Amino acid sequence: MSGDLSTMTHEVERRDDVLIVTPHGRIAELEAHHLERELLSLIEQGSVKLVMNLSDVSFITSTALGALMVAHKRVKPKQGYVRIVRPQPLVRQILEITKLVKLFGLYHSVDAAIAGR
Amino acid sequence: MAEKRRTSKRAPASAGTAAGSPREVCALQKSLAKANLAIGQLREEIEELRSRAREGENARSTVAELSRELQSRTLRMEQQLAVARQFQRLFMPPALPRNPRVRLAVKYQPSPRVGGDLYDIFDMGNSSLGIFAADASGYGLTATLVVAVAKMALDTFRQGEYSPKRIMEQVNRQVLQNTLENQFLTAFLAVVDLETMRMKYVNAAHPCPVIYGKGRFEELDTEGLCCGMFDDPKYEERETQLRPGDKLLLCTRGLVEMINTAGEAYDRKRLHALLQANSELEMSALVEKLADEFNRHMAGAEQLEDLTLVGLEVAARKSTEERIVIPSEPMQLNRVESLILARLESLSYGERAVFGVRLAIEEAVINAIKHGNRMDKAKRVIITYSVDERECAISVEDEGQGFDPSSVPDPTADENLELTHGRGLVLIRAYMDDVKFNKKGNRITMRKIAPWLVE
Repeated sequence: MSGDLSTMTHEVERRDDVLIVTPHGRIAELEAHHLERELLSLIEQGSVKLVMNLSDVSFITSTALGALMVAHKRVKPKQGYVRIVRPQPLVRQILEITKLVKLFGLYHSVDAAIAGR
Repeated sequence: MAEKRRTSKRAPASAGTAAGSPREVCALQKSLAKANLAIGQLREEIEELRSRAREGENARSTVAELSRELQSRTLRMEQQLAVARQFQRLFMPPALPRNPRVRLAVKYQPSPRVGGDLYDIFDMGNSSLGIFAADASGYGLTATLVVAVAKMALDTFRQGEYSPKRIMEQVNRQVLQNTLENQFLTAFLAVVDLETMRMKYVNAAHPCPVIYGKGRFEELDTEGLCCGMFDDPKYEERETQLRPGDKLLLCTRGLVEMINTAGEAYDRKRLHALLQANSELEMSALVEKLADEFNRHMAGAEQLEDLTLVGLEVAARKSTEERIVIPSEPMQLNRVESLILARLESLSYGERAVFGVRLAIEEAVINAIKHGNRMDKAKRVIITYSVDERECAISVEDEGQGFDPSSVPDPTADENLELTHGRGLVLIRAYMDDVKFNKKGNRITMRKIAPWLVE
């Protein structure tokens, strides 16, 4: 699956040693593969603290959750984290059903996520 | 029959192997044997009475007496046959199963002397339907006995068994063990998967089972000997795909072997010609028409055999049910989703329901592509869906090996939370109201009840 097929766009912003990743729209199969590659490449370049701002994401699937999990497992041994900010209600519900809120933690703002509270 | 049955195999079945011949069969066997004997004796006596009457040895008063005696004995014999007829009726299903995907039709015209036909149509669970037709050797109470044993064996051994070959082997064994040497039946059994419309069948020397329809005409012959004569009847199971509009017709030898007053049988040639000329006629009308033609053909001749016609017709696909077939490429999902979601939106299912159904489609189709077809683009994913004011039903089938859904670890358990995959099913179950798999595990069927019918 090539990244060209994905319709997802996203921005990455750096604040000190934290990366804030803001995807837009749907993260289904192809977009999830695209996102996974992006996250792994950022981690590869030395970032281990990732804040996912999901406020503009309308839809995710289990493959997207898998991508976040791959990133989580990669940064955890390096004292990093993957934190999630402001998911829309339907996306939040998916995180609750799969119990991943426990693992990632949900934050009401980017600042709160960086502060870890 | 070329092969002679070895009498050593005729030892009475031990209690342990008598699963298909419970006590009722034994009781029935005894009473039927007794009744048969009585009929035999009656026949002889009647013959004797007749000849004595013919010879005119006695005075007219004696003749009248004998005639009265003859009448009353004939009446008793008729009563015995009526009992056999009642038994035979008892073995036929009281009502046909109902399923929107097929239409069933039966025409049963018993012979006055009881021809030993048996048919059965039964819901087997797991979306499967069984269709059975058989014709016992002999007639009268003898035939009824064979039918009884076959019926008990069929009822017993079809429980939880979907292979017509294995069921027929058990019927063969039971009839072999529990009837006399020259008693057997010809039989045909089909098992139809109502979801996929694939039909498995086995033919134990039964005449003329046929599938016909638009551009299709096939006789359903398989290897295998008649039922209840041989230790190893060598049954062969075949499989075929039924399409919308296809029709299956089973008959018994009453249709194709009886000779009329002109010495002609209503043979398979006539049968085939009639079916081909009436391939569009719906099944219930077809069996009536066929019986009419047969009865006209046989006009004036004695009906020595039962006439049994059993028909199944695959319903044309419901107008609301649609089918999409895609190659194993995730890119194809957009097309599938936009078709199904457009239906949901046109019926105002609302944002939450549309979200849930979209997620379920994504997860099911991606599972089918990745885990079912293992990304093999030559393999297809078949999506069937229907949306109406009551519910949205979707099934997704792949061409892979299938899997056991209960073998997937629960990804929401603490120790599994970090798994990178395996959450699709949890989401499907959370967002759809009813989720089922076929036995093979390569087809998921899921329903979403319309939001206005919930709460």
